[in-house]
Amino acid sequence: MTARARQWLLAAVTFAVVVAVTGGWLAYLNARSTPHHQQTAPGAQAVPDFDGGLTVRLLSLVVTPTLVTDKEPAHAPAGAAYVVALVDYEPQADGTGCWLHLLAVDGRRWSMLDPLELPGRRELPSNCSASPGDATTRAELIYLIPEQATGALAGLVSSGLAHRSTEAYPVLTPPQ
Amino acid sequence: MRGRATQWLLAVVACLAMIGLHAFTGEFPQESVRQVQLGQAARLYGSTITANSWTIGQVLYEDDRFVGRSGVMFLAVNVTVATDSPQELRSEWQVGGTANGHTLAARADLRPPQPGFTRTQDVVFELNPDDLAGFTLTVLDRAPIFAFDPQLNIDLGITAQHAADELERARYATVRAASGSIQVIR
Amino acid sequence: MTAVRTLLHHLNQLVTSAGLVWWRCLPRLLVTAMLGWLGYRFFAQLAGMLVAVSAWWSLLMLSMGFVVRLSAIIIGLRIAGEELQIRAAIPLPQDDPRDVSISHLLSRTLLPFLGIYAVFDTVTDAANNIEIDYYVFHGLTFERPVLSQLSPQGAGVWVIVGVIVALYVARRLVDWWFESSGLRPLGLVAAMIEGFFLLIVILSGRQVLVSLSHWVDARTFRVWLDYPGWGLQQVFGGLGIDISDVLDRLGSLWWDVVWPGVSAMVVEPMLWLALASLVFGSQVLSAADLWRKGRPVSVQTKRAHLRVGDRQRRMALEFQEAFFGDLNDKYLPTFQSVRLVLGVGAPFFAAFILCYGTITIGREWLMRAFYTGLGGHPATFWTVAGPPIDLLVELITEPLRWVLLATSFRACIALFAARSGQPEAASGSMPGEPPTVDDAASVPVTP
Repeated sequence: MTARARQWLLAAVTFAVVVAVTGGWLAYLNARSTPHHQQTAPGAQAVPDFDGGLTVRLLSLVVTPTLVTDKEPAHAPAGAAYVVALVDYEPQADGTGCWLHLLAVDGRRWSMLDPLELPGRRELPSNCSASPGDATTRAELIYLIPEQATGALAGLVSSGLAHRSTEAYPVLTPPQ
Repeated sequence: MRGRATQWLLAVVACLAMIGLHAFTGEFPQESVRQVQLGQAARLYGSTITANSWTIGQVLYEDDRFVGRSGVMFLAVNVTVATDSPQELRSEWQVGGTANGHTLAARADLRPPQPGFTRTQDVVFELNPDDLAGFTLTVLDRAPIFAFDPQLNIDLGITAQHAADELERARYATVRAASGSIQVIR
Repeated sequence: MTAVRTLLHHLNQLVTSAGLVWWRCLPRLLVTAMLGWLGYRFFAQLAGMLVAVSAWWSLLMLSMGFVVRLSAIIIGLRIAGEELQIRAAIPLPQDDPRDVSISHLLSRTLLPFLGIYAVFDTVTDAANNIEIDYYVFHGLTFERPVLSQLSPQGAGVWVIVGVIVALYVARRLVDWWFESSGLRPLGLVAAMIEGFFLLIVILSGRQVLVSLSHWVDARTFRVWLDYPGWGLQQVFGGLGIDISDVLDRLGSLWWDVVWPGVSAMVVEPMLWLALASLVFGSQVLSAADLWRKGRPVSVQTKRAHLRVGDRQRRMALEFQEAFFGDLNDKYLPTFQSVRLVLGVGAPFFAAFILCYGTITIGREWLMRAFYTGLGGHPATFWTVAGPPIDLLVELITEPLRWVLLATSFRACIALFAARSGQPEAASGSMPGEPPTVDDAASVPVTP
């Protein structure tokens, strides 16, 4: 082989090595940044947030077109429905809350409804704000989703996406 | 001597040409801009935004609540935003306007609706009557760490004549802006 | 228009010979560029991950990244220079250490290289990118930024001064050890220590300047500096001209358009050519070397010309080497190199500016073409897509830039030799040109 062909071969080999190393590293970075999910057992406890979050258990997931409040009831717009997720949690002294999204099977997520948007108040609190030693450690997280999506819900998942790791986010599954 | 002088003059011209080219190139842009027309639907990540219409006036009511009377003019642009794809939830889009080379800020940012829903709302600007012709709405989706984000420039198609006619007709009218209600995408 | 014709002739010569050399050296240059890119990226990524541990560690990694990048540039320049047979055309003594070791070249060129990067804000951009890499890797948390840890308030003035002095002493010690033992890796260690030292000086010096300007703004005497402006306004106000508006516009035109253009399109190419000439060897010998050969020498600084008797020579030499070694090794050659380039003549200068500017602007447009082609995306996409684009653009433009620098330097030498009537030491023609008649009767120049 001529010297020039050898040089080109060395260049090609170096290019392959550089592409492989860079590609591997970038794939790792991408895997850290892209969240992937893992379903827990139905009705099981889990810690949805990675950075010191509450231990939460999903008790039930109820779909309803109307929400009863202490004033007038709230009606979902045509084609939409409310999803009420009843959760049980272990409160922490530092006041950590639970900010969970509702995850559908196709990957869509919905965030919690602002309780101020309802015409009145409901019985259970709408966020995990109890202190340790309180009697009620249950909360009601309310979501508004299109009716078409109500049949394919996966469960509750953490809303914080700033965490970087290759571990899967646990998805709280409703009991059967 | 003259030969040397013309040589250095030519060198200076070459330098100025390169400096001009550098100035023309400018800085690396931080957003990728797409031009859209009024009434045309454009996608920004998982949502579709359409600018429907616009109105002007001097008195502003937001959701039937009196806000104020402007010293110049209010412009309300009616937009429809529909989110249909499973993309990361964005809480706010940065909305602004450009007219006559300077940028204007809207009174409030746009909130794209949650997946599966669409919302029609009014984006309100307070601006000079001179800035009405050629007004362009800019919508930018930008996270705290950004590199090269997409931006939509929606041209409302207001010609100078159209602006003059509209100013004559509705300069002191009342603008009723609505923040819109959620509806399901059919 | 002979001026235009000379310019076009130089342009043609530069472009064709650079193209030929580029094609001939392409595989080796590509390997060098790839490895330099990978090395810099590796250390920059490491710097991003170590920010959580300590800012000093991450800056050490960054300085090593710069040393790797500079090594790649030096190797690339030498490859192009070998093809052009530059070494044979310069009358340096045969055992000049520049020939032999990369680490020797590294230590000579680190200061001007980092100086160029400091002037054009590349260093602070790299330090900011460390933060971005850190956020990308660890997620958006609100740690203190890297640069603030280097400011006098952040780490304490004495800590920074102590680190700088300790690094300077360490480098001198390693230099002395290297010269007495001749171990090759020590030269590399000295270069890395020097790189770290310079980086800290640049970044903390910048912080000191910023805090100094804040301090001045807070003083009462700052108001005195505004008086001339008010006086001018009174004078011109009488004439009906709003002088502050005019000055503001002139000022913004200068700082936003003219000065960045001049520094990027005129000053930067000259500095890079000066750096290339440091790599290849200009006709400046170390002042101390000349002195040792028995001739009194005048150091070209503002100090008066020094003529010292024999007895004090040795002591003064040692003192000079210890503290002013840098003066001889770095500042003088850089200054002489700039003079070399400027003294070649206007048409060559214009041709070089045009060629280098085309590469710089071409690089910018190529990057934009890639980014615009991919469209707008969130930052998480660009952390994955950015590096391959960066690699491609660098593979296309960096070898071209190195070849242009080497070719321009070669042309400088040829023009100087032709002007002083001295035929060069060896074959003086550039690739692509027919050999000149003078080459047969060349006389080597004795140093």
